[in-house]
Amino acid sequence: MATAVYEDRLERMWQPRPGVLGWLMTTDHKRIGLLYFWTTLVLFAAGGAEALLMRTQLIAPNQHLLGPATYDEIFTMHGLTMIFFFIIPMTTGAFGNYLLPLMIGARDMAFPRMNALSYWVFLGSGIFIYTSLFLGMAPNAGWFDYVPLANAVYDPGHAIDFFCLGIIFNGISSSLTAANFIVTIFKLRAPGMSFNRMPLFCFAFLAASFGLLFALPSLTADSIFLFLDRNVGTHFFDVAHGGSALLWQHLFWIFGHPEVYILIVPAFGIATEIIPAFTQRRVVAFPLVAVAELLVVFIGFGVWAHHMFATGMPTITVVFFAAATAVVVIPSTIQVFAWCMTFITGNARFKTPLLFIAGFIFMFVAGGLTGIMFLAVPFDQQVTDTYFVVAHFHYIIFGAAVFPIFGGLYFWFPKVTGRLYFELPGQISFWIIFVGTNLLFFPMHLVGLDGMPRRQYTYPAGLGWGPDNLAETIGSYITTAGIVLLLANLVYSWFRGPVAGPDPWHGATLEWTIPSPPPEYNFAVIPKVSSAYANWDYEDREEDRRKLEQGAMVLEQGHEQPVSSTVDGWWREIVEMPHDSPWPIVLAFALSLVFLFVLLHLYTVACFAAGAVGLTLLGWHGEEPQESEA
Amino acid sequence: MSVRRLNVVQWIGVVVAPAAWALQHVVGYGIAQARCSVGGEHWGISNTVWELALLACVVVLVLISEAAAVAVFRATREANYGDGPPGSGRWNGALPETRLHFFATTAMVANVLFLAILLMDGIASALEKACVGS
Amino acid sequence: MSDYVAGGRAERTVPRSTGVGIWGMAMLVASEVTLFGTFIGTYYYLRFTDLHWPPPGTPEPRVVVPLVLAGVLATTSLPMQLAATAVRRGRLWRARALLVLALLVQSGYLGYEVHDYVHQLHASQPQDNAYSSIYYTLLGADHAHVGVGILLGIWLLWKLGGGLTPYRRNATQAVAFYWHAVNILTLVVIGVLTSAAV
Repeated sequence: MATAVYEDRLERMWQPRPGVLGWLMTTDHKRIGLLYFWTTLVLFAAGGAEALLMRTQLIAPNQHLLGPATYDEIFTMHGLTMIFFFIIPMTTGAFGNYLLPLMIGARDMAFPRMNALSYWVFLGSGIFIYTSLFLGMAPNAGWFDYVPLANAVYDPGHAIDFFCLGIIFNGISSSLTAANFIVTIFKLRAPGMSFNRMPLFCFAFLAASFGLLFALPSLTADSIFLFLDRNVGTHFFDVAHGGSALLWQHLFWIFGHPEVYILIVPAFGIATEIIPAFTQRRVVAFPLVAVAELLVVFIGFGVWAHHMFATGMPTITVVFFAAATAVVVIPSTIQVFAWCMTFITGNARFKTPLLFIAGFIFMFVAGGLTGIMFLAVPFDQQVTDTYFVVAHFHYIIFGAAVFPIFGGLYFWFPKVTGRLYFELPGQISFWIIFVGTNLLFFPMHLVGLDGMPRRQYTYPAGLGWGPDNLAETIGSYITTAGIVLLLANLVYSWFRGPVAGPDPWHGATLEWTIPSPPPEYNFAVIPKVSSAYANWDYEDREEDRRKLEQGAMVLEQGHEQPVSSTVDGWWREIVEMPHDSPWPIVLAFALSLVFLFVLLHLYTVACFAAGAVGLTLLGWHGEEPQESEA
Repeated sequence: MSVRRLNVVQWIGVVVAPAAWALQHVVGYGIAQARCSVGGEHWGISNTVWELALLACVVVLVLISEAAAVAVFRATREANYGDGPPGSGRWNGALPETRLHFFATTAMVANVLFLAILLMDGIASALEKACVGS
Repeated sequence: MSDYVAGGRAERTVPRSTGVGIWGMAMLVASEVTLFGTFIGTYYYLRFTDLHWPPPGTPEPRVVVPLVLAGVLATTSLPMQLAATAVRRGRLWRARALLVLALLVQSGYLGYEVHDYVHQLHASQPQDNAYSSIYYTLLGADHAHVGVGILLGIWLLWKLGGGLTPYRRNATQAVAFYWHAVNILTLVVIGVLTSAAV
C-alpha cells in the first residue's frame, strides 16, 4: 500500500494544467510527441495528396490535370513536405520525443521547455511553407532548389524566398530537437545504464541527432547565401562575378546526404526494437549494430558529391566520394545481417509490426542495391535525372523509413493508448501497402532505364512509357487505400480496442515496465538497469518493486530527475525539471514574426521582432530550475 | 593495464581513426580541388606527393588507433556479452569492463572500414595525373 | 547501490561531472562552429574558382591590425574563465569585476570593428563580386556572434546581481565557454580573411 502513497504524491507533483491551456503550455515529452504526431499526420496527408496529383497527371501521356508550372510546385512541395514535414518530425518529433525518455528510464527530456519550443517552431514553419502554396507562390525549383534556376533572374517573386526562409525556420526546430536528444541521451540515462547497456533505439536516435546538428548548418548557410543573392544582390552563385553555381550543390548535398541517413536511421532504431520483441531474442551482434548506426551517419558526411557525379568534377576529386560511398554501405549491411540472423535464430511471431519490419528489410535491400549501382560513375551518369533515381530513393525512403514508422505505430499503439489494435485488419493493411508500393515504385526502375526523365509534367505517347506509368498510378491508389485502412484500424481500435496491459508483447525495453498509457511522471521508481534489455531482467524489476514499497529512488519531493555521468551512467545529481510554461509558444510566435518580416523585406521591423525574441528569452530564463549541490 | 589507462587507450581507439579519415577527406579533397582549379593551379602543387604524404600520415594514425582498440579488447576479454533468450544471466557484466569491451569491439570493426576508405581514395587520387572531367 | 541513500538524495562526496547546462552550450557551440566551417569552406571554394583573389578593383584586406585586435579579444577568455572559477568558490565581487573587465574589452573591440566595417563599405560593397559577398558575410557573422556574447555577458552580470545559485554558477561557466569558442572562431575567421593578402 506504500506504493500507492508514493504514486499518489508523484501524480499530484506532476499534474498538468487542465484543458487547452495545459496543451499550449505543456513541456511533457509525451504530450509534445502527440502534438508532433497529429500535426505530422495532417502534413503527411498533404504530401500524399501532392503525390496522388502527380501520379494522376502521369497516368497516361499528354494529360492536362496539372500544367507545367503547377506540376513544378507540386513535386517541390511533395519533396519538402515528405522530408521536412513528415519523416523527420514523425521519427524524431513523435517517436523520439515520446519514447526516448521512456527507454532510458528518465522522466522527461533534458530541456523540456526547449522541447516544446521545437514543436511550436515546427508548426510555425509548416504554416509558413504552406502559406506559399495557398498564395500560389509555392517553391517550384525542386526540393534541392538548384541555382541558377532558383536565382532572382530565373525565378523572380517570393517562391524561393519562402523556400530559403522556411528551410532555415524548420531547421531551427530540428537543431533544437537534436541538441535536446543528445544531452538527454548523454546525461539523463537511469543510473547503471552505461553506453553498452543502452537500447539500440537510443543509439539510432543519437546518430540521427548528431547528423541533424552537424548537417543543418550547411543548409542554413546555403539558404542564407541564396536569399542574399536574390534580395541583396550578392554574387555567391553568380558565375559572371566570380561566384559558383556548383557551390550551391556542394553545400546542399553536404547537408542533403547526411539528411537521407537521418531519415532512415531512426527507422532502423524502431525496427531494432520491434525485432527483439517479436522474436523474443536479443539482437545478434549488439555492439556491431550499435556502432553501425553511428558509422552510417558519420561516414555519410563524406559522400555528398556522389549526388554530383554528372557535373563534370575532375576525377581526382571524385574518388574521395566514390571510396566513401563504397564503404558506407557496409554498416547498413551489418545491420541487415544482424537482424536477419535474429529472425532466424529467434522465435518469430509475425504480428503486424514484425510484418512491416520484414517488408522494410525487403524494400531496403532492394533500394540499397540500386543505390550501390550509382557508385559506378559511368552508370550514374546514364541514369541521373531519370526515374531510376526516383525508384531508388522511394524504395529506400518508403521502404526503410515509412514501413518502420507504420510498424512502430502498431507496435507502440498499446503503450500510448492503453488499447490493443485489431490484428487482422492490421495484417491486411500491411499486405495492401506492400503490394501497392511495389507496384508503384518498381516500374520506375524500368521506365527510368528506358530514359524517362524526372520532374517532367507529362511525356509523349509512342515511347512505351504509358503502361508502366499506368501501373504506378494504380499502385499509388492501392497504397493510399492501405494507409487509409491502417489509420482507420488505429482510430477504431482507440475507441473499441480491448484493453492492453503494460506489456502485451513482452518487449525488451523500459517503456514496457510502466502502465499503458504512461503516467505523467513515467517511472514511479527510477529503474535499476543492468542491460540493454531491461524488461527481461526480472531480478532488477523485482528490486524496483521492493524499492517503491520503501520509497527509495522515488524522487517525489519535487519535479525531480536524476542526472548520471555520460559514459558509464554513474549517479551524479538530482535536477528539478521545469513544469508547464508559456514561454515556448510565445518565443515561437515571435520567431515566426521575424521570418515573416524578412520575407516581406521589412528588415527594420524584423529587427524589432528579433528584439521581442530576445525579451522572451529573458523571461524564459527568469525562472531558474533548481539543481542540487553536486 | 589499470582502468584509468584502459580508458585513455579506449578513446584513442575510438576517436583517432575517424578523425584521421575526416582530416584526409577534407585536406585531400582540398588538395585535389586546388590542383585542378583556376585559382589554385599556379601554386604548382604536386598532387601525387601531397596525397601520398597525407595518406602515409593518416594510415599510421589509423593503425595506432586499431592497435589501441585491439589492446583494450584483449585486456577486457572476460567481460564479454552473454547472448540468448531473456533472463539467461550471462548478459550482465561489471562496469566499466563491459563498457570498455563494447567500445573496443566497435572501434576494432570501424577502424578497418576507415582504413579501407583511406587506401582506396588515397591511392586513387595519388595515381591520377591529369585534371580530366569525370 | 551504496551510492544512494534511501529517499534518493546523493551523498555530498559524489564526484562532479559536466552539468546539463554546459552540455547544452556545447551543442550550441558545435552547431555554430559548423556554420562557420561552411562559411570558411565557401570562402576557399570561391578562392579556388577565381583566378585573382581579391578580384581586381577590390581592395586587399589589412593584415596586422585585424589580427592584433582579434588577439586582444582572445585575451578576454582569461577573465571570463577566472570569473567562472570565482563563482565556483563563491567569490561574487571578484567574478563581477572580472566580467565587467571582459565586457569592456569586448565592447571596445566590437565598437571599433563595427566602425571599421562601415568604413570598408565605402570602398567596396558585398554586391561587387563573390569575394566581397563572402568577405562581408563571414566577417559580419563573426561580429554578430561577438555581439550576442556581449549580450550574454550583460545578462549574466544582471543575474549575478541577485546573488549566487547553482544555476548561476553553471550559467557563468556556460557563458565563459561560449566566449572561448567565439574567441577562437574570431582568430580563425580573421586569419582566413587576411589570407587573401598572402
